[in-house]
Amino acid sequence: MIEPFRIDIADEVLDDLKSRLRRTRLAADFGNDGWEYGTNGAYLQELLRYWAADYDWRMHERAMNDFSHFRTVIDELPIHFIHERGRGPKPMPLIMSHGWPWTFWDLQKVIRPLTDPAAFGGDAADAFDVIIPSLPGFGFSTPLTRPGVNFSRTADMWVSLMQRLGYEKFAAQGGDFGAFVTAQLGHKYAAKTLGVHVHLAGPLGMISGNMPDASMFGPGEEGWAAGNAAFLEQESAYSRLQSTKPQTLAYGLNDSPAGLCAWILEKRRRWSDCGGEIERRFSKDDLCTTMTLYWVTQSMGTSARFYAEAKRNPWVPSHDRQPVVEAPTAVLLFEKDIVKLPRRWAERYYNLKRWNVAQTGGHFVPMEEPEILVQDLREFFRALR
Amino acid sequence: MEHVPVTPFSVHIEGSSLDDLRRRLTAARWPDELAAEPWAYGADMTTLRRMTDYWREGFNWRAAEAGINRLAQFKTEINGGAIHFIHERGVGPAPMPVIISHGWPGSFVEMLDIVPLLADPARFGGDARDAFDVIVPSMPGYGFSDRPVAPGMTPLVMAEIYAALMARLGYQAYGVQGGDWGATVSTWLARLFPERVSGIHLNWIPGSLQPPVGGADPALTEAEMAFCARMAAQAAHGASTHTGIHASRPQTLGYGLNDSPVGLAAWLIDKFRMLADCDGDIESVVPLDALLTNVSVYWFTETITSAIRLYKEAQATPLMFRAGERILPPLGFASFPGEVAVPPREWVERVYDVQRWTEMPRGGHFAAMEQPRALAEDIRAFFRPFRR
Repeated sequence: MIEPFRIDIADEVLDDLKSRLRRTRLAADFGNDGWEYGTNGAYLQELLRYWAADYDWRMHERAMNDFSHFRTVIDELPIHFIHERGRGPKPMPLIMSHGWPWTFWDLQKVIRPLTDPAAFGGDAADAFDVIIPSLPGFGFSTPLTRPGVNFSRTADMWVSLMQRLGYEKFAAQGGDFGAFVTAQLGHKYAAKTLGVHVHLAGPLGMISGNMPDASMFGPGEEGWAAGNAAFLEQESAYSRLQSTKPQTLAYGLNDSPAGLCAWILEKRRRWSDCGGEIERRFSKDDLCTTMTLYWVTQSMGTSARFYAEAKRNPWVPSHDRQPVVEAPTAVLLFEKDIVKLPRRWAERYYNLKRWNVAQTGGHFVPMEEPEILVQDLREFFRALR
Repeated sequence: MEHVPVTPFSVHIEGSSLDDLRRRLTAARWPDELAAEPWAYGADMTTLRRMTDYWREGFNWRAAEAGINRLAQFKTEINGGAIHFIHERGVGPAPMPVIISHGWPGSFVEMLDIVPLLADPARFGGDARDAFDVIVPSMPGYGFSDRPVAPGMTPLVMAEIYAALMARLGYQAYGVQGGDWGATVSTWLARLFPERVSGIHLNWIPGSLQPPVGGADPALTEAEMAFCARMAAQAAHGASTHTGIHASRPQTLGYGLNDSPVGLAAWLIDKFRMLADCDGDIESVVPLDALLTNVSVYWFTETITSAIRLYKEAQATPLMFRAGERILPPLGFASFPGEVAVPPREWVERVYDVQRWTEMPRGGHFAAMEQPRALAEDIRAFFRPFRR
């Protein structure tokens, strides 16, 4: 059963949030102008003050509710999704998977241009039916009540969801963990998957340890291997923690909005193409909306578990054919993203039909560079309709 | 001669802070916990809730505070920051001074039981000739010592501060003892001030220890090669979960832990359970009251962030040694069976002058809390020949 869903957070939850924000016992910070020790205290304080005093959740809630939301239960787990029908002669169904620390709302800017290209200077023939689920344990796909739900299980659930919506074949798109869900669709369900578009490339077994050889990086990919290594060296402790003891972290972050905000804020700044000025890529409202979504749905802990589940339930191939991802694939990389794998590797791993590297934009592509993403999606899938 | 006052200090937390803690514990917003094996994904919620319910309803901070204040404490300013320390005079014919250094996730609270054992052995069935003057500082950024206000508070700098403290207290020669970060600070003390350190007793070998290997040094033994391979494999998987965050982005983690007492308790107690020799039952080796006294000190002093920043600062001063360089003061090592990553003796001997190496029957990383009597006995026995 699929039920229409409307986002309506209770006043008492919002009041409690504000009162917690006002009572924040902010940890002292010093010598941290470049965020070397992690989230900078002065900026955090500024954002927390805005969140408590100026931020208007109801305005953003209304914007969310301008889209059609639904909830259904798949494998006994609640799944929330946006489902917007395309305007065009023959819209192509497209399921878009977000990542961590994202929410479904990170895709807000691309929904209309994809469903109604004609209204945005495009061709109605490029219209998509857009389905944007919240990953299990994220946002309104909560509460997560069962261990073992990794990105492979999520891909299985997406197939059930699409069948339930009447889509036998569909296109898939994703970034961050959503790219893994998407690639798994193109691997295990290649016959159903019209095409795969990812803006993060990586072997499906990557989180359990297998990375392509450094010698595979070619011309135009100078510095990528070093960049990947630097990220793993300096920025990946969060991932190791979330892969092993997400629950230990969850207690503090589910109880302290300041703690939650600091945890996510650091990644938004480090991983985006913002040159250290986070508001070049995310407004305070964007940031507070993300934080509020994590807070009100109490999904910090269960979203962090997505790492642990990937680690504990290593990816199991459904076949040993090459390429691993048999569905036609487009890879769109961004020069300022955190991890970039080489084209030579991608050509073997995916049924690679399209490869582009954008010079601007970082990890949060649909928020940072929605136009580049929309344009690439239209062009890639045009040939597959 | 400089004159900086050493001021008597006793712990007194304001009633408003106790009220605020109780309010926060009552209002704790617990995350979902999924059906899974307890502790499988980190701190177990049932256990944690029971502990934090007790923290709120049963634990008596004033009694804990009175227990702390039974030991003589002082504060004095060194390098612009106040250092808090226990200073108990020994009861015996010629007490030997010893400075005991704690680590993380402990604090001076770890040493509450062992201080009287060392200061007044006769009272506990021991020999008064084994008495020590016992000095237990709170590391800068920990407990009631000031939090640093600038980067650079490395274990090396702490050792300089501790040496200044001992000089100020009038001790020309003294023993040093420690585990965890305290072992690192103790080692720096012995390395920087060999003429003052009569002996060094450790219950942990610092993880950053890198003896010189190669050249004229003896070839690695099989046990050493196995140890190095184990360490390398661990490093390839990234540092352990807590230390990785502490050493890279401690501030990011600190905000939540400084704002949420249940978050703080989860973070600290998970580590205690993991590193103690307790078969998963931390309360079987460390009483809940002692655990909560330690957590409360972190909470009331708001030092979790400054404490974990040490992991990042310490990266600037790994314990690397040049060919032929050694730590001169004699070493006594108490090897507890529940301790993680104890290197082979010959690895330790490459740098330290190992005079005593005791295989302890039981106990883990928190020896002073888990096995105070056994640790005290090993400390007494080790220092006996070095008393003057």
